[in-house]
Parts: sequence; C-alpha cells; structure tokens
Amino acid sequence: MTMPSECIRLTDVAFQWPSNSEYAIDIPALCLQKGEKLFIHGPSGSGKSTLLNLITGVLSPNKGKVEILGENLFEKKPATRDQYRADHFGIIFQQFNLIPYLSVIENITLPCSFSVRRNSRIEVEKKSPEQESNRLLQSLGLTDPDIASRNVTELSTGQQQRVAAARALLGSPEIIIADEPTSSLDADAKLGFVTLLFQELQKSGSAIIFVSHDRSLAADFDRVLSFEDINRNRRI
Amino acid sequence: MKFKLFSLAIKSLRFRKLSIGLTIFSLAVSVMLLLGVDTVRVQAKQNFVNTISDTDLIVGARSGSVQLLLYTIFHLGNATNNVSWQSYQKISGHPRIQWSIPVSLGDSHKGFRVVGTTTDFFKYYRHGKRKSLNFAKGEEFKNVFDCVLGANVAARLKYQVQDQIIIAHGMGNVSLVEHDNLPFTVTGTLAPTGTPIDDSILVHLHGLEAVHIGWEHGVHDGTVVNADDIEQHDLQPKTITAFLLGLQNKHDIFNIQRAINEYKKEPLLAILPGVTLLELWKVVGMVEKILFLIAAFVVITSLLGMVSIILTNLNERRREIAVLRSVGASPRSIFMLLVTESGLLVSAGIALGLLLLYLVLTLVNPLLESSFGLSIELMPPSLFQWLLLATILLGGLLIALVPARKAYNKTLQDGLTIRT
Repeated sequence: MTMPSECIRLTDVAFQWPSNSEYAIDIPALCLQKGEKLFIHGPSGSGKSTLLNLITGVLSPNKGKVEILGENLFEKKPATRDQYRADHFGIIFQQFNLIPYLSVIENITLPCSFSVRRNSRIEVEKKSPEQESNRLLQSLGLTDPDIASRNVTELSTGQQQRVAAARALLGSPEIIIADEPTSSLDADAKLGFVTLLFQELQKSGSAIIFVSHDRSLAADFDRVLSFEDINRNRRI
Repeated sequence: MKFKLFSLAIKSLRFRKLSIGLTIFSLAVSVMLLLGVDTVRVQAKQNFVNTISDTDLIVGARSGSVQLLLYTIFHLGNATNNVSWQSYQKISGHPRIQWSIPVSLGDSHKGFRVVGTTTDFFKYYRHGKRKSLNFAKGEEFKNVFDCVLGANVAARLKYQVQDQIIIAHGMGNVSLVEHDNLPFTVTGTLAPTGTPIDDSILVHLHGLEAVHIGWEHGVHDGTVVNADDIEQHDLQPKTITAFLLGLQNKHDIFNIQRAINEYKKEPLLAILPGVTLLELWKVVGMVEKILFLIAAFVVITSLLGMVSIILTNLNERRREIAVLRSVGASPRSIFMLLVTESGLLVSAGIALGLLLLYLVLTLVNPLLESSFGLSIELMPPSLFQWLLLATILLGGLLIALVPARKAYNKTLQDGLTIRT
C-alpha cells in the first residue's frame, strides 16, 4: 500500500461548541500535502484554535471526516487519537508552551516519553533525545551553552518560543501545528523565528500549518489561505 | 509511561515547594497526633491494667467493687468500713491461700498516703508484668517505727535514708493532728513503678497501730505513748482496711471469691483486680476515645486542606495540562498525574508523621515517666496503626479523585486551548 501524499484531509467537517454558537466551524474541504507549508490567517476569535483542536484529534467533529495520514481519526478510540497526536504532531502555542517544573531539555524531550515512534526516529540517527534537543537548540539560535540547564521561567518569551519549536520538531513528526507562535514576539524576532523554523522543517520534511493574524509573515509559505475562505460558517 | 508520570508528579510537587511542603507538614502533624494518641492510650491502658498483677483477690468491707479497688490500690477515697483482724486471720490462714498482704490506710504525710502493711508487701506485691518492688536505696522496714518511701515521695520531699518523718491522722496537708510524739525513720526508698505505690509511704501495721494508741475512738483520749515503752502495748491491730490474696491454685478463684462474699461473720467483698480494673477503665477510657476522635478529625481536616490546595493549584495548571495534552497525554494521564501527586503527598505526610512521632515520643518519654509514671515503650506501629495509616492513604486517594476528576473534565473542555 502506498502512503497517501496528503497529511491532512478534512471533508465536510462541522463542529459547534455545545454551549454556544461561537467558533462554529463548517469546512467543506481542506487538505495539507506532505512537507507543505500552509499559512492560515484570520482575525482572532474566528475559530482557528477550534480547527486545530479538530485536526489534532482533541475535539470530535459533529459531522464529516478528518483524515490524518490516510486514516479517519474519529473512527478511533480517544486513547488512540492521543497516541496519534503524540506520534505525528508537533504543536506550538502562542505562549506558555513550557512546563515550569521541567528543565529546558526535559521540556524538549517530553514528546519522547509519550511517543516511541518519535523516540526511535532519533535513535535511528544514533543519537539520544538529549543530543538531538541540543542540536535543535543550536540550530534554532539558542547557542548559549548553559541555556539547557536554565530554569524555563528565566527564559525570555522569544527563547521560550524557540524551545517550544524545538519540542515540536523533535523526532520529526509529519505535521507541525503552530497557533499564533509569534504573536508574543517583536517584529525582528518574528522573522528570525520563522526563518529558523523553516530551516529545520527543510531537514525534517515536516508539513506545517501556521496560523496567524499577521500576514507579513506569509511570504515564504507554499500556500496562504484566509480562514474566512475555508470556513463557510459566519459568526452570528 | 507509568514511570514518566511518576517522575512528572515528583517534579511538579517539588516545583511548588512551599504550598506542598506545608501540606505535607500538616498531614505529618495530624498523622503524628493520631498515632501518638493511639500509642499513649494503648500503653496508658496497659500501665493502668498493670497497676497490680499476680494478686488473685482483693478483699475489703462490703461496698462497690470499683470503690474497693479505688481506695486499696489507687488510694482514692476512703473505706466505708474496715475488716476485722479475726476475719483476716481466718481467711488468710486457709490452706488454699498461698500468701496475703494486709493493708491499712487512713494516715498521711504531707499529702502522701501512709500504707500500713507487713514485709509480705515487698515479698508478694507485683505490678506490670509480674515485676516485684525494687529498692532504689536502703532496705525494707524492720522495726516498728521504720518506713519505706515510694519513688515520688522520696524525690518530691527530698528525703534520704535515716531521715525522720512524722505522720498525720487523716489526709491532707494542713491542720491535721500529727502523731509527733512518734517519728518514723526512713529505711529505704523504692524504685519508680508507675503505680500509686510511688506516692505512698509504707510502714509496718504495728507502727501504725502504735501511733494510734489512745486514738481508738477517733479523738485523742490523752494517753501518751513513748517509743521506749511501746513494747508494753499490744500492737496487734483490731482491724485493717483491706487485704490482698494470692492463691495456691488459680482455679480456686471463683470458689474462694464466693466463699468470702458469703462469709457469715462479717459482710465482706472479694474482687478480681483485673476485671475491676477493666471496669474502671471503661469510665476513664471515655477521655481516651474523645482524644482519639479529635485526632481523627484533625487528620480529616488536613486531608481536606490538601484537596483545597490541589484545587487551587489546578487553575494555575491549566496551561501546563494543555501542554501535556499537546504532546500526547490523554485526559486519563492527566487524571492519573493528579491522583499520583496526591498519593505521593499523603505518603510523604505519613512517612514524615511516623518520623515525628518517634522523635516526639523519644523526647517526651522521660518527661512522662517522671511526671506521670507513664513509660511509653517505643515500638513499631501496631497492626491497628498500620490499618489506620492505610485508611489515611486510601482516604487521601479517594478524596483526591475530586480534583483529579475536575482536571479530567477541564482537560476535555479546554482541549489544546490555553486559557489563562
């Protein structure tokens, strides 16, 4: 069986939070190719985060199909979906990405304790998760040698976001989801962050969905979509 | 994965050192209190029941059995009536009786009871696990005006062997008529026993009889006695307060008890000290039960405190939970993480509590021994105490299901959305 060239395919996906009509989603079709860099822009509060919850298998759609790497996620048990997320997704949030009681390296290697698959991808290259974390820190521009041992709460926001990127990239998951990863950074740091992220994506071959309200970052992406165009539903 | 959860839980607890540390400490103190109360009550009961041992029957004038025990052994209250010397002679001379100790009460010295008896007291009286009386200094009384002091009397009044004391008629400290014409010489002091003997002065029955010459009707009739002409008087007492009996054969206890209770010439009462001690403990034991109950509530309170700390922390931890979800943690892992944390907290509290308990018991033991005559043996937790600890752990885990469940629900609600 040949692996499909698509990482993600959404077909007629509809979702509504039970308590209110906000963030309602109705997406006829959306797909992401392997290694593709997709930029989705839209104002905050338009339901972008809800979409990411659907793609990563945290929320179940009311109807429609969410296929990840050719498999319909919602035919599977919640525990399997959690495992799928651990194996195939790297996720970067807008802020507060790091667990305060873990060191920088422990934060980065966290996915390895939930995913054997990502761990083994590192082992194939005859490296330990810690070595790979250090390499990612270096290539994401955190070259300060004692950064790895620093308390995460002492890091600047920009440093924290890069540590989060390193965690998302560790073990080369197929899909990186970045939800407004640069909105807490200043203009220079934003560009630098995206540039370094792209370099690493090149190496790992991961696809990315980059969600932001800031179109100035969209230039280097393969495809740029407006969330309003994807989502038929309008806020009431 | 299991191990990872465990190490995550430990790191997360370590991160919140202060609030978690205080929670553990409060748990530890409550555990210490509960086990401490239990240890003290068990051993106090043991000490209490062991006030007298090896004595098969206590015989006195007919009254209540608890009352008889109280005045003969605990020196509390007074006898309503005495036992005639003839009856004592008759009963103690019975071939089935191995030994007997006569006891005569009613006089005092500076608030301490004077017990008139014979040297058989030193020979046959047993307390605790059949421990006999030991002398700290000196030896038993030999002459009519000799006396032996209990450990507390000697310590409190700072008396030495060869000191002379004057005993007073009745109990109390002031305005008592003193038998000052006939002082007693201290021949020995006893080692501590943890029983009322520590607060007693032991003299020979004859000595007690001698100081009461001229007192036969309750007030002094003017007869003056000197130590020198004491030999001229008949020092055989007419009555005694009570007597203790040891039997040849334990199987005879109930027969002899019945025989004494049905004794025709005088209304007497014979009691089994062990049975009556337990009866008495039921009254005293209420305090012990109440203390235990209070300690149990302290444990419950600190468990509730722990849950409220976890619940408060939960709101701050919503981001952390979303991050864990994003790397693949299931809501069940989050649930287990919280239960594991509570389990670790309670376990740490229990361990520290045990440590504190033994530390405090070691420190307090000499104090208890000296001021209450209560010696606490340091022993590993009893089966009951292990069960208590297991109940606390189980209770902690059960009550931790509340925040864990809440975290589980929040996890499902929030998904990957970081709410602050």
